[in-house]
Amino acid sequence: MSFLKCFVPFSLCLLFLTGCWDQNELDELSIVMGMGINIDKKGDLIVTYQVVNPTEVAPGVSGGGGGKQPVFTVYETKGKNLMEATRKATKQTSRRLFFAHARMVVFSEKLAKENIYEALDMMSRDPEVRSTIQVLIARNTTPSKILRTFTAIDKVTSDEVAAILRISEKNWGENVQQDINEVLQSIINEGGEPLINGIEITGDKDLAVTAKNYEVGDPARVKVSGMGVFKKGKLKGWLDGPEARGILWLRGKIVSSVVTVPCKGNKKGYAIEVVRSNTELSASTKRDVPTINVEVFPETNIAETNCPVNLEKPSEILKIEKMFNNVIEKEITKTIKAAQNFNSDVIGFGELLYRENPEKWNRVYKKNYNRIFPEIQVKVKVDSRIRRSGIRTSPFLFEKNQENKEEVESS
Amino acid sequence: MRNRRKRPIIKTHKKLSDMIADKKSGESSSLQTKSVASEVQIRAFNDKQQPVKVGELSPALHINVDRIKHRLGNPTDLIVREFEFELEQKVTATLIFLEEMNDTQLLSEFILEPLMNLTSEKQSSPVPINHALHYIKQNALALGRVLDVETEDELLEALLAGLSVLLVEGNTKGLKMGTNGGKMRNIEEPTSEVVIRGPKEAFTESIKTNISLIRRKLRSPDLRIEKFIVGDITRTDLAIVYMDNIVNPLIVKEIKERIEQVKTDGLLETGQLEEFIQDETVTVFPQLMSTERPDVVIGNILEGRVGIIVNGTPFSLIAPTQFIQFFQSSEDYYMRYDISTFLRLLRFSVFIISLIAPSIYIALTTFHQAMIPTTLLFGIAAQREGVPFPAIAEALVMEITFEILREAGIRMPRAVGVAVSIVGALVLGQAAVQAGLVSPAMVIVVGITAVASFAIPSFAVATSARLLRFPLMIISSVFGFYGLTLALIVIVAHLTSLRSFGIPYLSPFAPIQTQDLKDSLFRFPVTHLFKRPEKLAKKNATRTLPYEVKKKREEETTR
Amino acid sequence: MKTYKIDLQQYFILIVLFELGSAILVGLGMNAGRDAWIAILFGMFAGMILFAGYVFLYKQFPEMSLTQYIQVLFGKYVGKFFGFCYMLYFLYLASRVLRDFGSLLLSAVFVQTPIIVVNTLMVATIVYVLKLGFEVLARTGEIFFGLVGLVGTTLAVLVLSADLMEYNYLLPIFGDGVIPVLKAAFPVTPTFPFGEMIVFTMLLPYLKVKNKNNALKVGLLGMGVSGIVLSTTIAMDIAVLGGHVATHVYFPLLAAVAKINLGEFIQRLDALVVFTLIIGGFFKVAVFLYVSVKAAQDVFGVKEETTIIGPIGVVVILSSIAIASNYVEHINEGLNIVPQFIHIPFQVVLPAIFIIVFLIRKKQLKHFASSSSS
Repeated sequence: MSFLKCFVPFSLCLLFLTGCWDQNELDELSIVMGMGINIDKKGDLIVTYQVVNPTEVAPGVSGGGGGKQPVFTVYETKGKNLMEATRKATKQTSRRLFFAHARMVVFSEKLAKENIYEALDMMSRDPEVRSTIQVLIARNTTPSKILRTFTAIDKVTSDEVAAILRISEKNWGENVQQDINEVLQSIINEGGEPLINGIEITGDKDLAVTAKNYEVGDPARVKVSGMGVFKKGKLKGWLDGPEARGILWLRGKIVSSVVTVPCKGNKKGYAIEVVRSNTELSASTKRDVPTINVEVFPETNIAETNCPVNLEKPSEILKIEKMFNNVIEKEITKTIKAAQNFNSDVIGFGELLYRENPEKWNRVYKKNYNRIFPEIQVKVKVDSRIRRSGIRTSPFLFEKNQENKEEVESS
Repeated sequence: MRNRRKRPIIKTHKKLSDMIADKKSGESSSLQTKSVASEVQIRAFNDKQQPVKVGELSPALHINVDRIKHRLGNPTDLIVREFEFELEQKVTATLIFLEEMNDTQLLSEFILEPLMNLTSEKQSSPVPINHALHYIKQNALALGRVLDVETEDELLEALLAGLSVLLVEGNTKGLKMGTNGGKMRNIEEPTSEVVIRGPKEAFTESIKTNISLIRRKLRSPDLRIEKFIVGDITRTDLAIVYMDNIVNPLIVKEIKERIEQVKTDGLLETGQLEEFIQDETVTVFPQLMSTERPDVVIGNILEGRVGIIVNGTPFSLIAPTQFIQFFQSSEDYYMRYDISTFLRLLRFSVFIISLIAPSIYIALTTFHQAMIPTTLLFGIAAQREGVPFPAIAEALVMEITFEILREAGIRMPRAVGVAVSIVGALVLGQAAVQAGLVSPAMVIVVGITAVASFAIPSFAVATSARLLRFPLMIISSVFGFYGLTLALIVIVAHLTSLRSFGIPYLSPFAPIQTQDLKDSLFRFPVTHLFKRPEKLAKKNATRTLPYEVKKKREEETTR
Repeated sequence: MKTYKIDLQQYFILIVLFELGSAILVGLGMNAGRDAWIAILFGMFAGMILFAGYVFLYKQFPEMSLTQYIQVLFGKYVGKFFGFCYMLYFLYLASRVLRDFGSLLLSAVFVQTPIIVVNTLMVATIVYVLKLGFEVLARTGEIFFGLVGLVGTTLAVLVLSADLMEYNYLLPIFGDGVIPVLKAAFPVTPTFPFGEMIVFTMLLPYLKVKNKNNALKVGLLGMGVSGIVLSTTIAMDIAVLGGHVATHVYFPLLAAVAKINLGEFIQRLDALVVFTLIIGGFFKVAVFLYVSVKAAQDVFGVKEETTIIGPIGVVVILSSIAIASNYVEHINEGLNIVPQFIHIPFQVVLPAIFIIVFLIRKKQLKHFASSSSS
């Protein structure tokens, strides 16, 4: 009982004499969904914040009277560093900026070309910023424009971009989701360099930043576009299209994709749908310049045929498999060539070499990796399997040809 | 064991009663003996009147009758029926009883009629007057329960307990006869513990009916029923019921001691008794389980627990009690084990929900917004927009409103109850949200909490969740999940420190009793429950082994 | 005096909660980079040897705690001096762990709250529980052990199903040779958390006498289980975050869990983990605090332990703030100074001396024991 006597006043003191230090009511927070970081001529950072207006986003809650408000607001501040700019933003906002739900951070190409390391520090240090935040580079535009773009489906741009990244990685495979952790880790990996997705605006760029963008049928959109290759923290160039997909083949990250395989005289050829794929990398480190073996094992379906071919014959299927293998092999080789041209190990060969032979890596390769990487010999081998061809057997074209042939023979 | 927490309340009561009557020390052991207060009164009375020995009956009938009338204040329901019957000569006798507490038909058919028809012809030899009582007891009274009364106090007690008393001129004894009757509630369906499958009878206010309900279902010679009388003025009958061959005798001894130490003037309900005999006073958790279902009492008796039945209330107590029992329902044993296990887990999670749901909402929305899924966060943030109160105030107001509604709904006459619920649902819920006073999310949280607290089978433990909810809400509004976590540690530590009659309250979880875990939050198939709770049934820990029966059956079918 | 006893289950659970308490939080053995999980296993085996020594001493004096039997070994005054040193040591450890958790909360959740408030709240809880008795602590452990286990398993399943693990991050094993791993393993990991089992020299007398012979077996089992859990946790951290990030964040477990994002609904679980970890921290600080109380009781001859729990709690709060001016200093002390200059003397050197002295004075002591009993 005596304990209770001192415990009660003690806990009362604790409750009422303490402030509510870290307490924030929800209506005192501005939920930041995306950040853009640019650099001006003086070298100061221009930071853009996309803040959600929850009453407009939440389902079933109508805005309290008045006209319709935009879904998000954009604040922009300048500062010598990220934190300074962030706190300066409070001069414009009535509420504290809250970063825990930020989906993406967009760097400008200019900043990326100068140095990306510094801006990454605050992002990884602040406990509020979640480590799954996606990193992107604005291509042919500025981050502030990207963040101001009104998107049609997911009303908040950052949400839309995060979703695009996810869906497109899974279905097309020319970009990889790169969150801040993965970017940092790829910088630190032995010999590694980061690879960051690009993003651009397509369509009418002036219309993009107005709410009218919602109302037109063919609005300006944001589009994920290529992947930026870095060397020592500086953006060196871009991998686009199949070159970018080569990275995913090499990393074994392809979930699903569609590859066009041309057939005799027909560019449209076959559309081969990749269902799953497995990649094995191995290295031989006997010589001073190592050789690397890449083996890819995709499993595919035939999704479309624009060639007259008898799909009921196993030998035909084998032929298509072979052609498919060639296409992929070329794609991968091209990617490796491109990376070697940039002299940037975005694929992770350095890490592979370290894994295979840590002792030799430390002794020989590590020092000269700049020289060695462009010279690495890579043998690419693709061994695909076509499993199915949809719910049809041979295409119309083949049947038609068959009929014509029969007609010719009979006549 | 720590004697720090040894029933402080009982101690204080003991002191009080000691102050009232210090002479009583010599006979303190038995509660069945006369009470202190009445003894003092008798002495006072006798001193004024005549020099008859204290408390003894006089052979003169009218003196006795007068004294009884005087002691009871000559109440209107005291019936004194004088009549004569014939033995060797005419004998005057008086039948005394309290109207409405006796079955008048019994009285007239089996007492008055045979006595008044008694004639000297029937007797083989003449009976002297001072043997009249013995004679009529043997020959005339066609009743089961007839006992001698020797003192005035005994006589009074018999009268007040609803017996009738027969006094005969010239005898210094009387006869008390079990002619109890009068109006009592029938056995009805239980109102507070409704089951879908299972016996539909509930205890009534009469201890006799209740004991008979138990006896009928438990035909074992080892069933022990011990009676006590508690309450200096109410003189309430109380019985403890247990299986002699199962129960841990130390627990029975402890329970008896605690009951004997109860000092109170009136005992109307088991709830009062509970407060006297529980281990720890400073706690919000019930330490004894109460039930109005005979099958629950019997089930617990079979596990080695002790049932306590009090006259005048349909609720009986079960001791010792473990926390987990409040999440078990007798129905669990009547349904299949899979659904029972599911329901028990559900009930437990419901308890947790009703305890911490508002706290979690407060902590999430004011401290840990990062943990809310983004889309949901937009929703809640949009609802919070324009609500003038901080989340904690919002939550407290809503919770208290709900408590008011609940209390109003319980105490109101049934006709008004509907109005209360309309006002509650429409005016306070809908309108408050539309007026922007509270956010819809908060209403949902309070709603879930309320429904959850109704889903707990035991009202007692739902109450403790209700009480603890408020401090938890406050602490989580100041320290978020950190405060909540520490508060939960404190609650669990407090629970583990509790004991019910020496048995740890949180067993079989802390300390872990592996065997008993089979029938805790889970219910294993009955064929696996062949052990009784380890600490309760030390004497006889094994039930009949049903799995052996099963094995035999399987062997037979395979043959 | 010791009226309550703990059984083997409670003993095992206390060991596991105690070992995991703060060790699972900080990046243990992270100097070994991606081989950190091996360093932990090394440390575990070394710690087990130490523990065998402690149990040896316990078996010689099954009724006495460390601070009691050193008074037998060295006589009253020298023994009390050593006991006093141990008391300070336990107090320091209690403050250290408290500081660890305070810092965790501050850097992860409560950025603006003063650390003294957070620590005071924790110690208040501990004092309340300890006042209910050590038995209550042990039983509360049983309840929370289940809870923590449940949360841990759930998280492991979530990490697995979110497909976050990149097993290549763990390769190559012994990439830079065994030496860096051994360097990382010694002397830090055997002393923390495994060598901290020294506190159980104070608690072993609470074991029921019939379990005396199982003390070593169950103790080693507990250490083994916690070692394996620690090792897999660190391995998981590395596989999720990559060797670099895992070694360069203060709380790798939090960073790893923060990456879980299932269907945009189950996300940002790190805050939840913080509060599960608090339970572990609670038990660790509570055990240290209780052991300090027991030591102080023996040294100063206090009759009722409950009277000094509160004051010692206040001491722990204050010293938890005074021991370092910032978290870097605190961690640095913890990794570089404390193991060599504090842990090793108290966990290895002194117990070794006790064993030697015991072996030398064995006969004399037997005489002492028999004369005292007769």
